[in-house]
Amino acid sequence: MSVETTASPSVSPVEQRLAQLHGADTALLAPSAVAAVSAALLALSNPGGHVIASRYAHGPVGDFLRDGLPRMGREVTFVDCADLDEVAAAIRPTTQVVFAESLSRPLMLPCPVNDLAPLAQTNDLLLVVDNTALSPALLRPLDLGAAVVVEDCGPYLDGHGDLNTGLVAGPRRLMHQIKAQAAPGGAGIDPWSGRLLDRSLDTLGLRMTTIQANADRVAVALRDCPAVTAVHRPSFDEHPWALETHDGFGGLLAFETELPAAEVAALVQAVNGDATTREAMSTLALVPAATTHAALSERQREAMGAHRGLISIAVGIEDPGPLIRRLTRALDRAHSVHAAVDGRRTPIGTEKR
Amino acid sequence: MSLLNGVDLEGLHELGREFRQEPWEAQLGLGVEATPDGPDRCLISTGPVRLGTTRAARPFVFPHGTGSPAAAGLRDPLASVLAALGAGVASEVATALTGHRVSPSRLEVRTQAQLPTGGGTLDPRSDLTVEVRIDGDVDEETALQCVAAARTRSTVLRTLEEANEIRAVLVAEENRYLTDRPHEYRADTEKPGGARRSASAVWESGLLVVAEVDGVTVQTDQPKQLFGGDRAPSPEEHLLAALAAEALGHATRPGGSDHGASIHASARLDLRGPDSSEGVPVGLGSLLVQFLPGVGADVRAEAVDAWLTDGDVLRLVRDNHPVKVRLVLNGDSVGV
Repeated sequence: MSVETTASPSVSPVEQRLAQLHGADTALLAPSAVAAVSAALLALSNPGGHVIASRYAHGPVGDFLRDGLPRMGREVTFVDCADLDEVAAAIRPTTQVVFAESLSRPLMLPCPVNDLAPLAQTNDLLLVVDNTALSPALLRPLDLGAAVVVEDCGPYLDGHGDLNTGLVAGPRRLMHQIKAQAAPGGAGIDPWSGRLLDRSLDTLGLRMTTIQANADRVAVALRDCPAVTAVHRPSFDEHPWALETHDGFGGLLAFETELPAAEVAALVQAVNGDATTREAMSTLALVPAATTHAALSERQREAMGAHRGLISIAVGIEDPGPLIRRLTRALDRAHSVHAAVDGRRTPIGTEKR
Repeated sequence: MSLLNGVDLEGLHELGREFRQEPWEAQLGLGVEATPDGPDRCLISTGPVRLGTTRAARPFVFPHGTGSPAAAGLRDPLASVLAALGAGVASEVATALTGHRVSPSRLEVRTQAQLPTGGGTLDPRSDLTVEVRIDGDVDEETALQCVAAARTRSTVLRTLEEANEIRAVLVAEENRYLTDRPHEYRADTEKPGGARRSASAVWESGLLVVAEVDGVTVQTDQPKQLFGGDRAPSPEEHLLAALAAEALGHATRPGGSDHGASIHASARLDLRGPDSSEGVPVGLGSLLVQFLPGVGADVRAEAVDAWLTDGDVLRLVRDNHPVKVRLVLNGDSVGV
């Protein structure tokens, strides 16, 4: 075993800055989000250990939890981390870590980290929180009792579409183990990425404030659309407990329709235009069932709420007015066509949540 | 920066600093379970280690003899004690050498126990000897300092050297709690003579030590939370395994109990002890041995009493035993 000095002189300052943003002793920047998560979970558990993880985890991190960790001798139980009873029921004598997401997608369910952390602590477990969806501008899990926080730096910490790095931050003792775990896998990022990230952090607060306000406006507009059956956008009205812990819910939202797949694709096109990735802080819509959750079985997708008619939107920093107009127009058009074709259907939108 | 000798000295120092600031994080709880696996043999399972507010799951399972001599390929309880003693000292010497920026070409610790003349059970006053053999570019003063540090910091050595109260619980319809207090060692009494049991522990790297006793290989390591490599049970767990195996041997003797009985041995360790001069004990504490009945039958109280009277390992752990430490540096004996 060896512990390599992973950070270059150009990267160390931004790691320190990220640690301060999260109220951590120290931080590590990894080449990707899954590298950050895997380093944290492998360092904090042993072969033969047991990990409780959010069942909503998806993408490369979800793949690592479902396939990678068990191959490395850890058992994983998937639960809804917002359901404390379910988490408590999953605890075993060999359980070491609880891995939760501060906001789980695609249904945008906020995790009560302030309740989950005491549960973990009283059972001698380490709580690792993936805070990608909120960023330290809106939630600081370590302040609420989490042991370690991980983030994908792409969506918000960077926000410019330039980086594909991951962050781990926590107390020095745990971070020493995590850095030792990450070192053999080639941890660390290049100095230029560190420089870009450092620059982006200057505007993190401004960006998150704007993105959040924009997302709230889009959610309000979607709730008025008859073609929309449900809008998933957390709020302090729905989650009053979050007033004590959160400064907002970020820029993610999702909505459901009962429109056919072609119409759903047209809605995504209406939001994205010609963009295929979220660049320059612009809004990006996608259908989780066909993209981020496509590798899962239909049963797994249904369990996560990734229905085929569910569209997820990462609202950007641009003026939401044109976006709202494009989206509502496309929804109204699709609703009219769909209602005309199938007049026998129950009018969509009557069971809106 | 590669780790000299594979020992993460910086991590260990950082951990020591944190333990001094947050003593509750330094509380280590460990336990093993012995279950019958045929005549005179058992399986030892290590339980999750509790370290402060966290856990380290290390589910090692290995076969063990319950009596002496053990069947071929198995070690008896006394052999495990000697292996644990050697391994514990070896890893501490290696850590201390690393602190001096020294890398030995070979580090071996030979341990010995004197058996009474004519066989029979081990005398509680039996001598225990530890011989530290260091080869390589190591000066005498450094070697002596490292051996002294290991003598001070080795949990297994200090557990054997000092007197310990062992609590035994016979789990039955009406639980019976027994406490076996230590018997005083008197240096002026006649020393036993006769056969010797010995073990050899060779340090590999980091905190990994490979011991050999009676032709059986025993590996020891520490959890990675304590900067080991998670490759084998710790020396302290091997010591508990010896206690559990010996207790199981008595519990499953003819007339002792049904053969479904199992033994759970546990202990606590304050990790500030090996790392401080604050008067915190270095040896294992809260030693507890639980006799758990099998289905349909209890362990007889007489079996527990017999173990408390005759158990060699029990007496080694319970009573204080002066441990003689010798140093052999590059083949030459050095006065310690």
